[in-house]
Amino acid sequence: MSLLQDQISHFVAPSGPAQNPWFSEQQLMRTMVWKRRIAYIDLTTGKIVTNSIPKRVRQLYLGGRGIDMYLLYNHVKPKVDPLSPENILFVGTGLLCGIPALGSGRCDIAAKSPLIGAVGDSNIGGFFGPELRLAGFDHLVISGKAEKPAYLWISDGSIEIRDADHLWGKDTFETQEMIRDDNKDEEVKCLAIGVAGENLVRFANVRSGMKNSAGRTGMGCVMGSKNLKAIAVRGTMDIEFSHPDELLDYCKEMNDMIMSTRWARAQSKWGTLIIYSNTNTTGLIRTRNFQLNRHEEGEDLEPENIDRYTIGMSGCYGCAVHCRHRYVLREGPHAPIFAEGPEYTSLGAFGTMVDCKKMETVLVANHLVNKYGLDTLETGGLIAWAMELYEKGIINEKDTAGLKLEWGNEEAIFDLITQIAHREGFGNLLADGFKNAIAKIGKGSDYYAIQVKGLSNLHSDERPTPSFALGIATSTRGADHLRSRPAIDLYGLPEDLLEEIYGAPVSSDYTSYQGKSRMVWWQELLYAVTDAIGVCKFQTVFCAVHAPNWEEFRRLIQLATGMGFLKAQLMEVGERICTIERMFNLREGFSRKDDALPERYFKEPTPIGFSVVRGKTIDRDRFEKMLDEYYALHGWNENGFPKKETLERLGIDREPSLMV
Amino acid sequence: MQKILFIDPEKCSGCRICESVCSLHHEKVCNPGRARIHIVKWETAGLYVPMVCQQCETPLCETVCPMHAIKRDDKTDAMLIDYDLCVGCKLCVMFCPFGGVNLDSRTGKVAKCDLCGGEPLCVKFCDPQSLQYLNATAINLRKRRAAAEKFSDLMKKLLAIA
Amino acid sequence: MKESMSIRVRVVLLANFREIVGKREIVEEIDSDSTLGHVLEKLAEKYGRDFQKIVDSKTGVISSEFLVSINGRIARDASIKLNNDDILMLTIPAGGG
Repeated sequence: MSLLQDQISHFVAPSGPAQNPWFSEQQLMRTMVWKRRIAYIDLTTGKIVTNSIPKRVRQLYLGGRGIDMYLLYNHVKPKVDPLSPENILFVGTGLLCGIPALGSGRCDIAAKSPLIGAVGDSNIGGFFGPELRLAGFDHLVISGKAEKPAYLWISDGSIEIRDADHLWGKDTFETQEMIRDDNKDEEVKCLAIGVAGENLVRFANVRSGMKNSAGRTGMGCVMGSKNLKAIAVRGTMDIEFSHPDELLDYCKEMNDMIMSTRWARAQSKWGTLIIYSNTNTTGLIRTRNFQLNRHEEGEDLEPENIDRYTIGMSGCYGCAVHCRHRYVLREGPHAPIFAEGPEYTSLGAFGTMVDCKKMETVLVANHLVNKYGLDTLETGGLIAWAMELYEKGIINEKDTAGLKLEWGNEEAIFDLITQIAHREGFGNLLADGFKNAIAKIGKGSDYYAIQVKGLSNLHSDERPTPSFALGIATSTRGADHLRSRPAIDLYGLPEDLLEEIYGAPVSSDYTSYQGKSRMVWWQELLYAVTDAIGVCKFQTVFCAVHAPNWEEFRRLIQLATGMGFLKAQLMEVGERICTIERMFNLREGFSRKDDALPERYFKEPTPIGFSVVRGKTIDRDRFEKMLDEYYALHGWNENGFPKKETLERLGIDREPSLMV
Repeated sequence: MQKILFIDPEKCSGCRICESVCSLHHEKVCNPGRARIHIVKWETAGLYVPMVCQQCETPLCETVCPMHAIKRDDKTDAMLIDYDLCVGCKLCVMFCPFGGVNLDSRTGKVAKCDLCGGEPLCVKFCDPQSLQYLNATAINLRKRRAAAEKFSDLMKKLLAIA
Repeated sequence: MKESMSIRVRVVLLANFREIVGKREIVEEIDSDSTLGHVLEKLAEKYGRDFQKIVDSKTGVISSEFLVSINGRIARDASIKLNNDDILMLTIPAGGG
């Protein structure tokens, strides 16, 4: 058999009708996606092996988070200590990385999470992903532990492990600058950890550029545990696509369509901060940890108030929306600060949840967490919790070593951020995350923690919105709004349109439970595929109803790679990713009881706001019913275990299959 | 009327879509290193500057080329490389003060902006309009108007308090 | 004959609407039997621009480009009657997180 025939014979169509209208021999040979490499780097032995990624794996998981989750399940052994060399860090570019549309440069970083002991996974934008792909690599699998601080140097098909002694202790900005200087190349892109990652703060993040972060679940902590300070890459090779001319035209169409909409224009002007204006006015924002559902004195946090600091807007690779503020603080005790951001979650982390009222507080804190390499959301969530404990007398000034954790005390917040990053004082206790901090403090402190599976929730108050509540309870990586948040539930869309999208009746009332489990399930599949192809959620149905989703993804995949997927097949990829993540968590001992909400959601009614959102709790029985429906939609049993027929249908009944 | 590829760095968001589409269009691959336009970034300052051939009136590349391979295009006024004549001596790369000529390591050839025959793709894709393709006279007038508007704002403020 | 009393509604202006008016909130005095459509018409006359595009004049439905809520409930239909002290929110449907 010729090499070509051999390759074609391996191209087995996914389950379902065997149709691949776009595929041809020429397209297979032309598209470089089949030539992309995966690199296995063992930091203990220094051994580096590269391999190709089987086409079968691409058909089943696409790339990015999809392949990362497959690798996670296959390569990380059950019950491994996430801080041990046996944990493995996965870095993966999306399948569509490089296309000039939809913010296509997103990269997925995964491992077993040291914060929650479940799936650890975080997505990062900016420019690292495309540079990695330009260097010829789509996936990195990093195991073991370096004897002393090291960084990976990746360039055009080659990988080296280099000494990083001189980088250890540097913040995330300095680290990147020094690596660029060392290599005398301003175009080098880096993933870097700050001192928080070095100090194994369990929610340390991985940073790139001025503010891009793989924020959640402590992937920076995993890097720190491997003595891996950074991954630097410089690539000058080609990224090939199967239909470059048609792809170019279609990307133009996509960009034009998106930039003609109000929501994209609003984001390109005000960033994600514009969401806050809507949700706080309505009364869907956690304030003082969980005591209130609206920040009554939070007007300075509205995006118009950042204008006096803004010097421009930045965009990630391949994104026409450019939703990030570039800001400068020229005056005040913390000046000068040149920074990027803040995002919606930071407004909550250092604004509403801790009862700070000024935009400037958020701007300073945002810069601090970026410098140290801390997840902004987790940091703010823990501090808000600590403030409520302080108010209730569960902890006092003796416990906090003198820090006055009073609501709105910004200096205490800045100090605590620094303490957490350096594992000093009270910060050392918080640095281990909710589960450990609750165990240490005791005294009923767990009641006040707004977390699921050990991960902090963001500053949204989901008591009035059952769909959002179900989303944070079921997310595989703990309380998280990026796994499934059906944000369009807040738009009161016509019910015939909702039925058309979701395939069954869904109430247009955001306080209703009807059809919401289906909404969450559908969005979950979409976001899994979004993360697998590596585009930005802000240019999908995450933001607006007539935004790119299944049909657009199909067409892009076809034009970029030659692979043909029917919509049902693509949804199946989403199901597969979600189910294999579920399997990982079940293997680690998680079950239905962990798909839960903090008790306060059921017990404390929302105290303020409009009558439509006031007095709301989540109804426990209806929540359990939504959970039943959600499991059923996934093809899982009533305990959340995938049924045999589901595993067979998705082709994952023989895991680990070690295809790559 | 001659049109010019005009750059306004203040509007550039650094997204690099221009590099991507330039290389996709000319080389059929995405490779910013092979694009004829490049965004130079100062990350901390948030300054992003698109750099591309300026299609000079007295082009140094044309002057130094020993094979007279770089010539003015009648339609667009762009300086184009005639690959039948080019021997790859790279003097144009060395002499251009803007770094406007690439050396493509894949093909061994030099390459530069050709304004895509009169419909520059980078301009089409640039949403913030940092790159524009404008009539020569329009550019100066725009800048004058933008500066005058600052005076106008100031006058309004002064009149309001007078 | 019933006298038409006047009522007051607060209008919270966000995003592009705030840009146009230059204020975060305004109070509008309207007839007691006014509908959402009447208020929006009044604002359209006063401020023009995007205010004129909120309601589709043929169908009386709020354009999906914008988000209008009354006391936190999303309003799709401009014929909804308003009550004294109602709080309207005019904004863009910005979602995500």
